[in-house]
Amino acid sequence: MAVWRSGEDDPLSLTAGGNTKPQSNDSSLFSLSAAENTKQLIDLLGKSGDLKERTFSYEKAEGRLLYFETIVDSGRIEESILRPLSETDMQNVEEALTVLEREEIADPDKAIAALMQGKVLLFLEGRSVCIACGVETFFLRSIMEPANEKVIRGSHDGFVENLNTNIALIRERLKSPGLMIEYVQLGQKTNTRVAIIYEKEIANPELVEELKRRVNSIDMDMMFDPGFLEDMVEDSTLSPFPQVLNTERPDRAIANIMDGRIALFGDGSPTCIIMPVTFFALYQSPDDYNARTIPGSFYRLLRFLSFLIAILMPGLYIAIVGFHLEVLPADLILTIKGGVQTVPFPPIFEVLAMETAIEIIREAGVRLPTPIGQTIGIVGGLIIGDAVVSAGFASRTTVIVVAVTAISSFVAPSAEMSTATRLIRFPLMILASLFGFYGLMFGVVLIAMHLCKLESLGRPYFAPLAPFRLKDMLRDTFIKQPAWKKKTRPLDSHPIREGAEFGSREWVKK
Amino acid sequence: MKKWIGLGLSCLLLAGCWDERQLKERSIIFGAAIDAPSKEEIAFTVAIPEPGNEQKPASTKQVISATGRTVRESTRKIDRKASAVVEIGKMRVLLISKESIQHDIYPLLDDLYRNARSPLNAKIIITEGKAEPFFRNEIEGEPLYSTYYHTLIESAEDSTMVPNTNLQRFASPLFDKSDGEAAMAPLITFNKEEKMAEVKGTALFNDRRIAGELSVAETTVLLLMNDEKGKDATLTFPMGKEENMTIRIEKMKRKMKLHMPKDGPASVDLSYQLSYRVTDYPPGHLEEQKVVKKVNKKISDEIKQSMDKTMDKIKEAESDILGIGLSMSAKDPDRFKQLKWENAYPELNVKIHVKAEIIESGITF
Repeated sequence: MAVWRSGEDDPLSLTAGGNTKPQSNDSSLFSLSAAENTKQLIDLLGKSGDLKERTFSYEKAEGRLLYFETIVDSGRIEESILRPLSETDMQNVEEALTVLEREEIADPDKAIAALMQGKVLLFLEGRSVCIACGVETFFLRSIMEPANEKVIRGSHDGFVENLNTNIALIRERLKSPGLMIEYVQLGQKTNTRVAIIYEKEIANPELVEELKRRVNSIDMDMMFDPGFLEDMVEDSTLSPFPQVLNTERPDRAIANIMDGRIALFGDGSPTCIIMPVTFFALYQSPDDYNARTIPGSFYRLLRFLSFLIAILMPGLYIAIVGFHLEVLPADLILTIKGGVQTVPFPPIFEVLAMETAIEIIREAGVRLPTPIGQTIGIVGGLIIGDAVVSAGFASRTTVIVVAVTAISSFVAPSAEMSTATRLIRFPLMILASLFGFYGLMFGVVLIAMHLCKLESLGRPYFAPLAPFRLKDMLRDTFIKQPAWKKKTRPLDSHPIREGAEFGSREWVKK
Repeated sequence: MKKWIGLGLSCLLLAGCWDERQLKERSIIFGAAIDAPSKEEIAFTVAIPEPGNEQKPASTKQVISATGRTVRESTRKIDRKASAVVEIGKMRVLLISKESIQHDIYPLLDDLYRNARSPLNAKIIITEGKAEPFFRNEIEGEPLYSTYYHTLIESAEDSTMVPNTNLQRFASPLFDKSDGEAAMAPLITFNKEEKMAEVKGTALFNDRRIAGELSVAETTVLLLMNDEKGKDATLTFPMGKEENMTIRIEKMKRKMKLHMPKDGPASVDLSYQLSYRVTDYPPGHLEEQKVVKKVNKKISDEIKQSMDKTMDKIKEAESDILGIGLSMSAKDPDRFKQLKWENAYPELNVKIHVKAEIIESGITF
């Protein structure tokens, strides 16, 4: 399978070599008769209901059109193909066509691929090639802010399901000739168009090559985007931590592209996959960059704090109540004791049950339509929570711990990261119930080890903490420096052009 | 096969459960009392608190006593009576009756110093009379007795009425034998009419037994002498006929000069430089330099006198609270050994110089 560069070749001309291989042997080249050619293609395709053939016979032109009526724009066929053909007086009929995108195809396999893309195949009597004309129709959702990545300030547009629109949104923001877009067609049956987008003057070519190698190795029937794509290119799929950044926001995508990262888009999904990323990049929100330095840094730090709360708090509670009651201050211990006194379960079961209940409520809330989802939240959160405490099944403290933990886990600006933190706390809870603080500490050390070892596209995932780089840590990791301080790009993506800011704050003298 | 799966699962899921101490299965105690009329008989009393809720504040649920030959034996006997195992880890006050420490306090504390979970920040309080009734008697408006005693002592510490001590600080003078450092602990008494406990002063120790008592005012002076002023310290002195002045010590500087000549007795010069604030002085006129001078002189004399008196008292009790012996042994260990501190201390010549200065006479806050 090959990769085509934008500008060098037309995306139309590509075929996925894989998907045509089995057919290439029994199909021959086109003949001079238009009727025979279309028959040949119809035989190859089988008789699909929406495959239409139209014959025309004008003064100069005589031939047939072949297209899928569901994915072409019939108005444009009339305007740009049939009318010019009927009115032309030129000898070379195809010169009359007014479609923007057209190409001669001599190979039936390629012709079928083009047909699938929504092209109209034009066969002229006496010619052994067909002309593929781009008159695809688009069904566009309007560009809206993605519901799961809302920001307070900044742009409110989001990617949609159409690849071309998405690339347009990126090009609109990043008007650099260095912006490279490379297409690959994936999925033997689905023929999904996938775009690899990067800034060639910044992104490290080795990383680009590596990602292309991974993408080109994909060979499967269906490309279910973005989940399958992510699974196929991620370094370690069994790690709880996502090693790619999923975003539906153009501003977030281009900020990452400008940091030397590579974006991966599949047609049919509004989600863009960005690689390589670090653990900390998943905690950066576009809001940080629109906020001023001090509030931006504060909320950034708050997110890391909530990460710690989300993974540690239930474990800490279980360890304290089960092993280390001395760490509680005297005034607090009585209150907590009063709560757990009447609970009939050991703390691990109490907390596990409550955590599971919260997860169930969350899952139910996601699936249900918004008005019912809210009801579920109220019934689940308030009524069940209160009833559980007054019935004595769980202590008040447990409900507080579980609720704070759940809320903290949703703070992560990446949905995948938020799921990851919610999952990590379960093993930590079990460890804490077995060995108290020791178990919890072992768990944390194991997670730290795993994070240090993890790679995203071969680059360290836990940078700039491991490998340690203080400069990056203070610039855009734990705190957010003002934009004029970001003189260089972060090193984790190994950009070939490091400088990013060149004295913007050295204002021109009056 | 089934056996192995069961074994493997229990190894995984039950590991560490022998270390488990579930909060709900333990009786937390906040206060304990020890009465030891004789060496063979140690009565240990614990007060088990009951958690409160919105309607009802936390209160003392049970008071359980048991007598054994050691403290540990007594606690085991308490476990026989209590609904759950008694957890001593959060104990905040330990009340010991004055009678129990006539000979040796250490056997009563040994268990606490051995136990890894023992609360080193618990306050040691000496009681006038038996210690057990301090938890049995009702205290008006204070349902949780142990917390009441704890806050009572803590606030007294803040106002320099009793020494700031706890299990850990108490230990070092106990373990150091004959080296010139003595322990002290607050002393409280119970007022049955008022249903209240009251801080009475300080118990002075000589080595491991009680050797004397100081009143609250004397304790304040002693703590000032030892440079251990709490958050604030107030003293009241007579100023001539029927007039008194209350001052608050603001800043204080102590200088200790040791004289240890090769021949002849050792002596100590203690000079104090302190600044104070007048909080109560009806005659007033403190804006006049002449009056201020007079008052300063008078106060300096008064402080010096009370310090002298207190010094005499602790010398009499053979309790070297100021740690003079410790400083001397640090300065000249050989000479210190020759001195035979137990004998030398009561005879020690201590000269005290005080220079007090008014810094504020107006509004106090």
